[in-house]
Amino acid sequence: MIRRVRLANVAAFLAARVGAGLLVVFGVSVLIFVLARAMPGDPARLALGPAATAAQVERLRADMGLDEPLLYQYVTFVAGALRLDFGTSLFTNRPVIADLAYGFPASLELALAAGMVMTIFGILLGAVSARFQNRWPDNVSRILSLIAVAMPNFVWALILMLLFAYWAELLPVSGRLSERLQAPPFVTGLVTVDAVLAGQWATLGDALRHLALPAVSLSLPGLAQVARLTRTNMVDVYARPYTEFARAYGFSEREISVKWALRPALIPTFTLLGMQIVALLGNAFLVETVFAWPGMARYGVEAILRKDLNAIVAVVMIVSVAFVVINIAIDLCVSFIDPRIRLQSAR
Amino acid sequence: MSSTRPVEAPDLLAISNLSLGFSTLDGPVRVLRGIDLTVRAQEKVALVGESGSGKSVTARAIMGLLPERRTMASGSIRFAGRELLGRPAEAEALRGREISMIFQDPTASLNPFFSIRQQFRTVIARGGARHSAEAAEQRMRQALRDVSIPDPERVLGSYSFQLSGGLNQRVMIAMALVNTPKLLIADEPGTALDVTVQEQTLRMMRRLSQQNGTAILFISHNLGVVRQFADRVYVMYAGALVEEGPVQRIFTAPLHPYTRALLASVPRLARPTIPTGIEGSLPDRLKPIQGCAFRPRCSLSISACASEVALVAGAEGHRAACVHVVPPA
Repeated sequence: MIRRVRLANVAAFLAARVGAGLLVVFGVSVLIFVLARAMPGDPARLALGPAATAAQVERLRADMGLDEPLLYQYVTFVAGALRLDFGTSLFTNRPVIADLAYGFPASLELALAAGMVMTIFGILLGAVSARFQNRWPDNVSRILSLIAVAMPNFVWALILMLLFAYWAELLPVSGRLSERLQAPPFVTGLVTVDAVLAGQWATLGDALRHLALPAVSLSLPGLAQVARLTRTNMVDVYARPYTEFARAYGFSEREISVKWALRPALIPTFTLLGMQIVALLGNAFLVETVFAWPGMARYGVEAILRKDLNAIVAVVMIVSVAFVVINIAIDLCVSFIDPRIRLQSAR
Repeated sequence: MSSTRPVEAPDLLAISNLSLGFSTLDGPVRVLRGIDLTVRAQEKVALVGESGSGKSVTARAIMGLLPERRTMASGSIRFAGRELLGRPAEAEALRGREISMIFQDPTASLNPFFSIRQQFRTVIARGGARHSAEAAEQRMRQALRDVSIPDPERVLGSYSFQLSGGLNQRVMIAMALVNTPKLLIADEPGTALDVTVQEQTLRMMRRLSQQNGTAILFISHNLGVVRQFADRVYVMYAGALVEEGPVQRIFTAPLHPYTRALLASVPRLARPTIPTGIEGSLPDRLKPIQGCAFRPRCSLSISACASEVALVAGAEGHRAACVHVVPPA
C-alpha cells in the first residue's frame, strides 16, 4: 500500500519534470534555430569559399532550404531532429550525426568521469572540512579549494600533464586508448563502458588511464566549488538543534558526519552538481584540446568558427537534451534524499 | 506536592565550584562563576533564572556538549562518582544511556531528513542491549504508547515536519526515557509550544520519570511551572547561584531580593495588581563582576554588597547569597 503510493509519487514527479524538460528543449530549439540564421555571414558562401559564383551559392542555399519561409524551415528541422537527422555538415560533408556519434560519447564519458570525481572528492573534502572546522584539515582543504577554484581547468590540464605524463611518466598524454589497442565494439560509445560490456579488462584499464588526467583537470574547479558549498552547508547543519540532539543522545561523531549531518547538507550540493556536470559537457573545449580528446566540445567550437550551421544547431540541441536529462536525474536524487520534496510533490 | 527526599539519598550529580568561560572575538567571557549544585537520585531539581543567566550552559557542561576548544572550565562535575569535566570520553559514554536531554524546541530538535523511526532506532541501539529489529520495533511502539500516542505506527513512519509540536514533544520524551536514564535534563521543555500542550507534556514527563526512577534537572524561567514540578530549586543570576532551597520555602519565604523580584513578576489571577518587572538588565559579561551581581538592580543594595557575598545557610537547606540574610541562631 505504502509502496504503491510512493511509486505513484515518483511517477507524478517524473511526469512533471519531463514536461518541464520538454519545454526547455523546445525553447532552446527555437532560440538556436533563429540565432543560427541571424548570425552575420552567409553559411553557403562560407562553405563554398570565395571562388564560388553567385549562382553556386544560390543553389546551395536552395539545397539547404534557406530560401524557404522560416516556419517551414523550423518544422523541417524539428522533424529531422526527432529522427536525429541534423542535416549535413557544411565542412566535413558528412551527416552531422555521424560526426557526433563518436564526439558526443567521448565528451559524455569525460564529463561523467569528471562529474564522478567532483562528486566523490568534493563532498568528501567538504565533509572533512566541516567536521574539523577551523582546525588543520579544514584549513588545508580550504586552501586547496581556493587554489583549485582560482585556476581554469585547462591550466590544470597543463600542470597535471607536466607532472604525471612528462615528469613522472605515469599516465598517457593524449587520446582515449593506446594505439596498440583496438576500441571495444561500439555499444554506448563510452570506451570504458563498452570495454566492460565486452569483458576486455586490459582495454578498460588503458581507457581509465587515458581518462584520468583529462577528467581530473576538468573536474578541479567544480570540485572545489562543491567542497566549499558542502562545507558551508554542513557547518550550518552542525549548528542546528537536531545535531545537538544527536550528540546529546550519544550518536557517534563519525555517524553524525557521514549520515545525520551529511544528508541535509547535500541538497544544494546536488543542485550545483547538476549544473556543473552539464557545463562540463560544453566547456571541455580547452581540456579536450590539451589532451587531444576527440570530443564534441572541440567539434562544437570548430563548427562555430566555420559557421557550420547544422553542426552548431546539433551540438546545442544535444547539450540541452543532456542538460534536461542530467537535471532530472539530479532532481530524482534530491527527492530521494529530502523527504520534504518527496512528500510535497505527492500533494 | 511531594516534600524533599530523605537526605540519605546519594548524590547522583554533584557540581562543585564550576566556573566556565568562553574565548570570543571580544575577549574572554565568564559565563559561570563557581556553581555548586547537586541532584540526588530520583530527585526533581529546578534551575531557574532569566535568559542569559547561564542555565543552558550548565546543562551543556554536564552533557559535555560545549565546544572543547573555546571553553575554559574549572571545578568539578561528578556523575555517580565519576568526574566528567575535561573528560569528553566519560561524558560521551553516558550520553543517551545514563543521561538524556529534552530540548526547548522539539520540532527543530528532530532531524527532518530522517523518519522518526530511523532516529528512534538509533536512540534505542545506543541503549546498549542488543535488540532484534522486531524487539526494537516493539519497544519503540510501547514507548510511544506510554506518552499517549495512540497510533505509534503512523508516527514512526512520519517525519518531524509532518507532526505537530506537541506530538514531536511527546516523541522526544519517549526517546529521552526509553533507555531508562538515571538523569534527565530538561532545558526549558515546551517553551516553543502553547501553554496547554506544555502543561500536558510536563505532567507526562513527571509521571514517566517517576515510574523509571529517573532524576530530573529542570531548567526553566517559568516559576509557575517550577512550583508544580520540582522538589528543590536553584536560582541563578549572571552565572552564579543566588539562592537554593526546597520549593515550598523558595515560594513562601524567598530570601534573595532577586528571587523576590522574580516571584513578583509572575502574573497571578488571584491578585488584582499587574506584576512588576525587574528594572535594568543583566551585567555586561565581558567585564569582571565584583560582589553581588544583582547590586545595580537591587533596591536594598548597601556598600557591603560591593564585596564578595557567600551563600548563607538558612533553615531546611535553604541558602542565599545576600548580605541581608541572617543565619538562624
